[in-house]
Amino acid sequence: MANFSTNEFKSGLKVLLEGDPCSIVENEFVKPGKGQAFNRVRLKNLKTGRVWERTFKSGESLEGADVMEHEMEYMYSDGEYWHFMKTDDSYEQIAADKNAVSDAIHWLKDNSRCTVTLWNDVPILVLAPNFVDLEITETDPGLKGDTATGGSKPATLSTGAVVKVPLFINIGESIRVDTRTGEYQGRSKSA
Amino acid sequence: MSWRPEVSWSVLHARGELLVAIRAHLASLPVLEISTPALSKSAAVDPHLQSFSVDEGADLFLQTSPESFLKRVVAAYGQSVFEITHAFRKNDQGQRHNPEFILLEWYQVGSDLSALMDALTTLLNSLPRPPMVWRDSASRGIKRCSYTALFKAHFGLDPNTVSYDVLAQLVDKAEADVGHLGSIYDEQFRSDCLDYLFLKEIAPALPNCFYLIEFPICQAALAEIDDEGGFAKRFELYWQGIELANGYQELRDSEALYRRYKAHDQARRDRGLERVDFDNRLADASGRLPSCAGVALGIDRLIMVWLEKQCLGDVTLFGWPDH
Repeated sequence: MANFSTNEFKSGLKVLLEGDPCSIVENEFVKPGKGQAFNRVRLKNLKTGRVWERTFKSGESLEGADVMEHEMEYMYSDGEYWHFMKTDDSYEQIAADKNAVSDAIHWLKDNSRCTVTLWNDVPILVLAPNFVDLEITETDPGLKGDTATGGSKPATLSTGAVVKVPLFINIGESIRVDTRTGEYQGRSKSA
Repeated sequence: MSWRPEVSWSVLHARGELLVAIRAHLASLPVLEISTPALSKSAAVDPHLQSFSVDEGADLFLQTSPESFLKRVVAAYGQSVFEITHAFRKNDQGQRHNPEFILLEWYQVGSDLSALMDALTTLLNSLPRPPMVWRDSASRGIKRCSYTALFKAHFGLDPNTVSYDVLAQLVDKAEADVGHLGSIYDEQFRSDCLDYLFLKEIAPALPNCFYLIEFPICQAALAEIDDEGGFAKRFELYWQGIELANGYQELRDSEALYRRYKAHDQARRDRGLERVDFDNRLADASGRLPSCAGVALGIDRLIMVWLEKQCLGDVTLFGWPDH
């Protein structure tokens, strides 16, 4: 892969830092009046999702990373791998391991459209859709008519994830969850 | 690319008003506006300033600042002068840097550095519609922070004498990525390390708007040195992390100027940078300068912060380099 010098840095550029693929979030050229020039760079580690702030001497370069994002449909898990299929009519399938699936594991159900990041054609990160509809499999019995007190209780979803729901929600009902925060958004028609 | 200029008429109007106000204030002092050439046979020797070379045969350079010409004028006439002109610095490009930019360069005869900072504050106070950051800071008086004192307080080390090895260790400790500040241990290396450590460790905790004063001696550039205090008589006006202006108590010693040239020239040679001839006429003029202080103010940046914009592109008619 080509090298990219700091003057080619721009947001979205994928580079390798400490062996990990990163996406440049922000690049700022900083130079004291007559002094050494630096680039203050924010990079998102695509494996961990963590954002790094680094300062490079201007003119330094980083190796590019072969990183692609694909929209893919979740199919099934065999316990070790989670299998996805491309949605571009190629029916191409890939298998992501637990590290790549990470937090998305709580929200995956059949046919969810996920964003899968591939590095050198290997999946490194799976992002669940922002909102998913899931069925409640376990929670304390609902309190009928109690829609106003604002209390909440834990509820287990079909994927195993536990979220806080209002007191009136019952087992078997379907709710919508924001996967970025894990927060209950409301009842939904079907899961 | 569109043929249209890239800013609205209202931005252009505000920009024009600020320039009129700056000229009006300086004229009232009075300081005379002059014009000097943008092209010259001389180029800046500072290793971090790269000049555009215009005509290989004639060795002409676009000026990185009008400093040399203005000093020759001040030395010849002994009068305070200013110029608002285009300046050119190759490779300096970013949201707050354009390789071509507009500079106010102002020399005040008989002034010391402290008085020039006051005069610059007064100039900025005279401008229309100051933004909140300036009103807040100016109402309490623009703070002055000593570079050398800040460094000593933060690291417990004297920036003038701390060893190259210790500096390299500090940089490494702060972050591995800049481990390549070079393996040539000289005063340029010291300056680069200080720049980095200041940017990374000290600057984030500084106020919104302040004068940075009392620079390390290796960053004296063309400023006088206070031997007793152990610092260069320089200041920079910082505004939300951006340097707006850079002032010197001007060096009036042509031999000292030559020694600094030699050090920069050696640093350039060691780093494989293009060599630059000694500017004899600047040296001759420096030796004849009356006591004076000078400041360069980035006009594009001033307009950017005054209009509370985030980047130069928001206030530049034709954005570099696609114009």
